[in-house]
Amino acid sequence: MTTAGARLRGFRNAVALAAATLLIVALPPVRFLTKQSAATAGIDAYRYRFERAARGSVRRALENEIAFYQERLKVDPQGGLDRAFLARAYLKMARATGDLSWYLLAEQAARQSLANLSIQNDGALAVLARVAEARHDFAEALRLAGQFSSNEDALSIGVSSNLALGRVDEAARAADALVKQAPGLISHTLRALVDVAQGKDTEATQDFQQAIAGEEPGEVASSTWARTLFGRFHARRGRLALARDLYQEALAILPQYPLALVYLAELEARAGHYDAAAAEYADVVTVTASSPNVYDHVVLRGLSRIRDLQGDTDGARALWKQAEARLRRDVAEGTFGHRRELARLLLDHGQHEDVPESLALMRTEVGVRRDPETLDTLAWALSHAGRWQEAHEAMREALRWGFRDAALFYRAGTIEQALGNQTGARRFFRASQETDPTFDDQARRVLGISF
Amino acid sequence: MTLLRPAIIDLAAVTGALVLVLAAPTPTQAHWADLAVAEIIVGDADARITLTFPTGLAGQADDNRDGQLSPDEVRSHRAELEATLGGRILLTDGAEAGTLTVESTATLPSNLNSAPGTHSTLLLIYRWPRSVQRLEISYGLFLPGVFTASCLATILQGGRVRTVVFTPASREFSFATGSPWSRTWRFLSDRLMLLVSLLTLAGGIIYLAAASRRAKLGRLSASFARHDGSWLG
Repeated sequence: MTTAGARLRGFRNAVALAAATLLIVALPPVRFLTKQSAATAGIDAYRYRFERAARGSVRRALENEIAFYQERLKVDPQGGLDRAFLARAYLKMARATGDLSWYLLAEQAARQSLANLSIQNDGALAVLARVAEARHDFAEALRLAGQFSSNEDALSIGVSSNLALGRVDEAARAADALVKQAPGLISHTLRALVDVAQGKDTEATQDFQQAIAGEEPGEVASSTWARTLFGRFHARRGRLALARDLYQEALAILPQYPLALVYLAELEARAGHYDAAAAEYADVVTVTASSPNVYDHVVLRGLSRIRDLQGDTDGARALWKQAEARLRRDVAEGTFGHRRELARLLLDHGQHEDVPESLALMRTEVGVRRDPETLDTLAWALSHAGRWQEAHEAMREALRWGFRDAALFYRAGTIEQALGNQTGARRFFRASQETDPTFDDQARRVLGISF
Repeated sequence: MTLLRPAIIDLAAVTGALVLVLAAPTPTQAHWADLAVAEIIVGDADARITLTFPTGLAGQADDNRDGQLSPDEVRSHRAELEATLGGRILLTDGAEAGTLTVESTATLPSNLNSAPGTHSTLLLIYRWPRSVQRLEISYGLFLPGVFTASCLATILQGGRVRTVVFTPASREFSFATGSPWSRTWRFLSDRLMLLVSLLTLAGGIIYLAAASRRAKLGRLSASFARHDGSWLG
């Protein structure tokens, strides 16, 4: 019996060993990464393995790229493909600097390219679609993507535009197809965003890690971008030290990357390091001091909040006014203006007379995009207007795909409280703390979340 | 001129990803309506500007009020446009203003042109009767009273691009386009490089031919060696 038992155990061990070996061989590397928790993996896993670009070298390289294609177009002004490449170089510059003028250059170059070469010109179409996305015209971006002959570009836009429109299921399908077709830094990062939108933390971590593990030396800004978003994900889960490391690593790759600077400033402010936060914001401003920048209003609003937290009410008020003036101008000028940002600024200010305007802005905005943050802002405006049931509906839609965010849960909790649903409120407050245990009063003040 | 392909830096722009959608501010229309952009290519005796500007600045030419200047509208309002644009965008060679000609650019096929028009693109060609040694740009095409208006210009000259931002507070920019000596040197160095390339190529061909001949001779001498005896015999 003992011998038989030992044989059985031996057989079981052999089967287990064989199964484990099979599992190791059969599973792609991504599955390995799920074994590592994001919190314990450590920053070493996210270190940039390649030679870092010297300060200013990325911009110089982009200028060389622009010069290269302009020279070619000097010889052949009708060259549709060269102009599409030039448009792409302009778009890269826009992404790197946040400067609006580069978006306009990218758009006009893409249009000229398509005017000269209207068939088989995915490069120019992709640039137009990206600019449309950047202007919040997601329907137009998807329409243009439908004309691509290359599936990869279309899928990529399918992910980002559908996410913005709140069509997370369609974004997920596009992301899966993209990863299958072109596994790499960008596709995995995009899928991580879809995972985040569905509250799939493990999968998101896995995709971010897989993205970074698969990066290549030529993808400097994508490497920076992926780390910044990964840092943002950790920050939303209260892993602030890891988030800081990732932002700093991103900035070590591409100094003055505006998105990383803005998020780092937010972290500094949460830690009460107001001077450091102001310094990070100041770095964003110096990127393109002479041109209007997509980050202008973020910087002004951030600096205003810092002044407020430091007790400098007058200074805060002056900066807030600047941000308001800028946003009002943006909203008045265009079809797709910064409505959500203006509504948040007004609601944050807490003046009752601003509530109808905020609500009107958000009613229009949800016609253009329906991502969780937009719906959350609508719920915020509805709450201030005392329309709690509608606020409840907006929050339900915001959270329907499983998006997890301490601030959203907290707002949902207050809405349930106002509706007299104490059990639901407790459930949301608990979810808020579980999602980000560091989400305290200071975090709420810094993030501008008032109820 | 020899063109070297620069290193392409991926910025997630190509196949990827709009970070802005979820997590960041976006351009939207922020000051979009105030912006103009220009690609300036400096030649020997001319400068060509592809100018994209808010159509409202030349609104008198926008007959159908669609927010964009069509080739027909440019044709029928050419003189007006040349007067308007020439008066606000002045290019001189230090002494003489260039003669301006305004041309339309190719238009987008209708199936792709669904976005509402806000800007128009025109080609502005400034010509001088002789080579330009120095170029002075005075840019004043701004929406009146809008202090945030700006024009980002890329200037291609001598194989490199420089970037200038014109604003209502900063309207002038000038630079040397190169002395006759530097142009002569550039011409000679280009030709010299071509000559060196040709010589290298020729040298390579000669070397290969010689190597081939040596190999052939080697095979022949080996053959001779094998047959020496018989020949001597």
